[in-house]
Amino acid sequence: MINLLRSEFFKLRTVRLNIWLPVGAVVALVVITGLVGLLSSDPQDFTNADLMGMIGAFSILVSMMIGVATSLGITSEFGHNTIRPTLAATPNRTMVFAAKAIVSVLFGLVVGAVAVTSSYIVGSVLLNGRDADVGLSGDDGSLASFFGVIVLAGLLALFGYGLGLLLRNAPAAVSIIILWPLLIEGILSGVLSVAGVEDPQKFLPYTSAFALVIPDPNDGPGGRISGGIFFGLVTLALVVGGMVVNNRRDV
Amino acid sequence: MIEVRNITKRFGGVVAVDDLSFDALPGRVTGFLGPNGSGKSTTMRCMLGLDTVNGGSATFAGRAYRSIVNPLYEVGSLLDAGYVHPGRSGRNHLRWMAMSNGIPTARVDEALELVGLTDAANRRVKGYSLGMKHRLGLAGVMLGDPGTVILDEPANGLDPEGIRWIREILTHFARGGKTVLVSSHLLAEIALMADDLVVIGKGHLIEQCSVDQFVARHSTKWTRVGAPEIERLLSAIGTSATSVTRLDGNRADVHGLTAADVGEIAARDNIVLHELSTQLDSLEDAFLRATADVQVYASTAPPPAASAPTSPPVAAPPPPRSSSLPPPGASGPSQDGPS
Repeated sequence: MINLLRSEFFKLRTVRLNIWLPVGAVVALVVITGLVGLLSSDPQDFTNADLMGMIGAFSILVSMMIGVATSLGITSEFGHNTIRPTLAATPNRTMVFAAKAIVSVLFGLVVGAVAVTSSYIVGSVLLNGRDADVGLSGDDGSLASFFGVIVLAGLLALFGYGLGLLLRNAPAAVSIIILWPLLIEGILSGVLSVAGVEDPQKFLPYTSAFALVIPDPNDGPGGRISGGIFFGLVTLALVVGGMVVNNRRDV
Repeated sequence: MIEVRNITKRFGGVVAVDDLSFDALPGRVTGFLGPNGSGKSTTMRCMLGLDTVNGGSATFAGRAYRSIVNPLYEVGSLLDAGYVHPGRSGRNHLRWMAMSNGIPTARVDEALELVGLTDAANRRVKGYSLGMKHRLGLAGVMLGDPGTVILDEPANGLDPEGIRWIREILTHFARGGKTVLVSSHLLAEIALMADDLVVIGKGHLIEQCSVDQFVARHSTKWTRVGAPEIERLLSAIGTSATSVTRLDGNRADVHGLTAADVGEIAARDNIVLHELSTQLDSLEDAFLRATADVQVYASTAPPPAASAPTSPPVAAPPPPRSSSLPPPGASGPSQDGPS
């Protein structure tokens, strides 16, 4: 399994898109945080939660980009037919797909950690240099939000991989990653509301996961932990479904 | 050794491979032949566990492919040279393969050197020519120095030099004791390198035999004779021959008599001979004859010249087999074949 993990990680880092996509997303988050730190009219009013709330909100886009990268990683295997030499080199498909899943999650966690750490440092240095007093605290949820960004990045990386594995089609997988929270869950929320379901957002997995990055978990539909677990289970189901289907399919 | 036993593969209602069984032996190149759409590639994918079979099995030295933990050490396969990520360099393509099976990175450089790709190793594959992709694919096959090699149409799209290179390297593998299974839809190409043949059509086994046996069974033999007094010789032959085709002023093709028969008639009548040889019609014709009933995509258009053979006949001295095959560039001018 170690050989397989090394091989899959090597594959991931030897395709330029997998480098530039997350780098671009991280840089965008750092730049946005930096601009807020520089241009905020009342920096002294900025709290820990404000900074992490802002980083957390924009980090969702970073996580989506990570999901896009991991979905393209697996769909390109099918698109370029490199899945055939992959499975010829390692015939145990469950091992192959599990290794890819592990590498995807690690990739998401690392990029998420780099994104949140770098943007937090830039934001706090700039704001504190302008008489603000921001830091990370366990009391106001900013510390939890900090780690939530990393977890969401890992989950969305796995989500993208699972969708790609199930669909084996890059445009479809990427569209769903982007449109799911904006369109699919929007429609679903409306339908549930019309059906008389109280607080329908807590039944929407993607939206529930956003609670991970919100400093005040009460702002989220289902709370930080439950929202993360809900989305994690949906993601896991996608991956397991993709593995089961691909264990049977011809490649 | 490869043992294929009763493999059946269906795609919906279409039976692509039907109860197919054959062996490929160590130290020999086994040509896997069949017309387009006959099920060669599907069979190979089934053998490697890439397609699930509806029945039957394939084993490599007694083991199913899916049960081999690090197969690159045991079976090297190249189904298509294009199965490479275009954005990855050739070297990195081999490196991930090597890593997956715990093959040392140094072996990647050795394999690249063996196929002559060292200078282009760090270039992205999308800039490779087809020939370079084939070389890269073969480098992948060689990574673990496996005892069995499986190649699907390795000469497709290659220029004559590339085809010769593939041929030489596969022959080298077999002489080193490896089991080599190579598919093609061109017998002429396979005949230059293969020792044994597995011929299939519409998913069925048509024949498994040596190339010599296949040619002997499916090709027509006749005697070519050249003499300054050709008319006198043909008169002497008379009705002993089943048919005679005049070629040019002093030459003729005689059917129904061996070269020895014609030589004895000439000697008996004191007729000087300038040429006396046994001819076989082309290997391609033999293959087309053998697979005539199982062509999936047969053309309905008339051939350009209905009476002409698809390729020139070849001289066919007695075994060894290799001497019965056309050496590169040695084909004679186009002539009328047997009627």
